[in-house]
Amino acid sequence: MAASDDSLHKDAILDSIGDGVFTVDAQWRVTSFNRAAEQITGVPREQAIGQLCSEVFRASICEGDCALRRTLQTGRPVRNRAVYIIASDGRRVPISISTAILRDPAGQVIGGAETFRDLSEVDQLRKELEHSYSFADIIGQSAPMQKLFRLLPMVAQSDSTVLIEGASGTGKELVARAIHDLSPRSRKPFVAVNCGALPDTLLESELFGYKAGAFTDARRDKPGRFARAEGGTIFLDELGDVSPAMQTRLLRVLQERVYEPLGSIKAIGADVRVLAATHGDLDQQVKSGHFRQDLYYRINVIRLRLPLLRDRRDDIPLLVDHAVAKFNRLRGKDVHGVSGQAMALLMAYDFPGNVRELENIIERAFALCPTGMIDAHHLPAEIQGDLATPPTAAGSRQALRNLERRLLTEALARHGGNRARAARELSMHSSTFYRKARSLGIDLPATDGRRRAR
Amino acid sequence: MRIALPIWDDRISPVFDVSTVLLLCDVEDGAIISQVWRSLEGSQPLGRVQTLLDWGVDVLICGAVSMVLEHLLQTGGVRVIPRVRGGVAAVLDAFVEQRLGEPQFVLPGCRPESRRRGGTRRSSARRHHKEAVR
Repeated sequence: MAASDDSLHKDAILDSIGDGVFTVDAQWRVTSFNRAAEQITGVPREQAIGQLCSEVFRASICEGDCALRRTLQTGRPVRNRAVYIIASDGRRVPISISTAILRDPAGQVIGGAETFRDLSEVDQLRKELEHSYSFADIIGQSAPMQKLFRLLPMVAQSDSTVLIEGASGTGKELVARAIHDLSPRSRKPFVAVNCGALPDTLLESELFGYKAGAFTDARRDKPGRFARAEGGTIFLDELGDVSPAMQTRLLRVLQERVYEPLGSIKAIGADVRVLAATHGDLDQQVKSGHFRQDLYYRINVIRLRLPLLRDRRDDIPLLVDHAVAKFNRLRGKDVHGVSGQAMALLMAYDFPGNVRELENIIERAFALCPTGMIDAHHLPAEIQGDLATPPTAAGSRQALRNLERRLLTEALARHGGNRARAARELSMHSSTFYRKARSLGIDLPATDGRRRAR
Repeated sequence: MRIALPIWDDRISPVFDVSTVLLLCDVEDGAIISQVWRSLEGSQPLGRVQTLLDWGVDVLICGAVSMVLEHLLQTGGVRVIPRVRGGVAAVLDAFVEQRLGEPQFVLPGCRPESRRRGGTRRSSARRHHKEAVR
C-alpha cells in the first residue's frame, strides 16, 4: 500500500503532537497509532496496528464504559475524561481521553478516534499539594516490607484498631491509607489528624467538633474529624503526644463508640475505624505513667512496626529510582540515575530520617546536578564521609567492600547468626555467603543455626 | 490446581484491576475437571487480593495488571501470569501445554512473564544489589 503525500503529511502532523492519538475501525481494531501513543502506552506502533484497541490501550474503562462506544451510541463526543491505563511495564498512568467519530464522505460511521493526554505530572503535583499519596507509593521488596505487604490485606479486612509504630519518615500515614484502601471502608472517608501538632483545647474541638455558641468564636456548628470520618477511617498520628485528659476522652470513644461535640450534651455515635501511630515505645510511656494503660490496650489490638530504612537497605536502590523518576517529572528534568559510587554511599548511610530523608537528599542532588547522572559529590557532605579526594577505583572498591560487609553483618544479626536464613534474605547461596564472609573478615558465630531443630 | 481467568467477551479481560467476571478452573494432570463463574463486580482493585485468596486461587492468568496489585497477589502466594491475551479456550489449552509464551498470547508491546519479572526499575535495583555483593 503506497503511502500518498497526503497520508505522510497527516502522519507527520500526528507524530508531532504531544497527546496520544489512535483510530479504530468498526471491529475495534487499531488502524493508526501516533508516536505519543507509543510513548505513553509503551506499545510500539507495529505491535498496535491491527490489534483490538482494548488490548493495546488497556484503560480502566475499556471493559465497563468504553468512551468510544459511548460516543458511537450517543453521537456525543467525550471531552477530557480522566481515567488510567496500564502501560507495558505495569505502571498505572493517569490520562484524560477525548473521542471523535470517523465518517466516510457519505456520512457513514467507519470508526472512531481517541486522543489522550498523560496526566502523570499533574497527578504528581496534586498528590504533593494534597498529601494524598496512596498505597501504590509504598515501595519495598526487602524481607521486612514483604512481610508487611502480606499482613496488610488481612489487617485491613479485620476492621480492628491498629497501632502503627515507626520512626519519623518511615511512611506511617502511607500504611494507614493502605489499610483503609484495602478495607471494606475504602469508599468512605479517610481522615488524618496530627495529634502531636495541636494543643489539647484545639485538638478536642478538631476531633469532636462544636455546637454554635460553645465558646466565644463558635458562630456555627462545626463537625469534628470523627464526624467527617463517619463510616470510614480516622488516623490519629503522634498519639503518644496526647495529654492525659485527652487520653481519657479518646478511651471513651473507643470503648463506647460515642462522643459529644463541645457545647453539646447529646452523644453522637461514631462508626469509625481507628488507626493510630506513634514513634514507638508507647509501652515505655505506659510504664512511666505518661500514657494510660487501658487506652494502650484498646489501641494495641494489632500492632504494625515499620522498619527503619537502615533495616531494609536493599530497598534503597528501588526508592532512589522512584525518587529520581518523581523529581524528573516534577522538575521537568532528565536525570538518568545515580552513579555506582553514589549508590554505594547511599546504601551504606544510616538515614536517621528514613525515607523522607532519602527523598530530600535526592531532591537536593537534583538542584546540583542539572542532567545526566547524580554522582557522589552531589550528595550531602555527611554521606560522602571521608571521600575528600576525587573518586578512584580503589576508593570505589573499598566503599563496595564496606557496603558488602555491612549488608552481611546486619543480615546475620537479624537472623540470630543463622547463615542459611541470612543468605536467603540476601538472595545468595549459603556457600557464597560463607565465602564472602570469610574474605570480608566477618566473624561467623560457632553455632550457625543449621543444627537447631526446626 | 485452581486457575482464575478474568474474562470479557470470551477473551481474557484486558485490565484485571477492573475485570467483572472471573472464571475459576480446577486443573488436574493437564485436564480441566471443573469450571465455575464468579462475579468481581463492585470489588475494589486491592480488595481482590483477599477475594482470590478466599476462593483458593493458585494461579491467575490475566491481561494487564497494575504493578501494586501484581506484587500484592504474589506476596499473598498467588502465581500471577500477566500480560496474557486470547480466547478463553485457546489460553486454557496453551496454559496446560505450557505455550503461553507464544506471541499470539502476549499483549501487544509486552514481554511474557517468564522472561521478565517486574518492570525495568525493579530489575535495575536487583542489578545494583548483585553488583554490590559480588
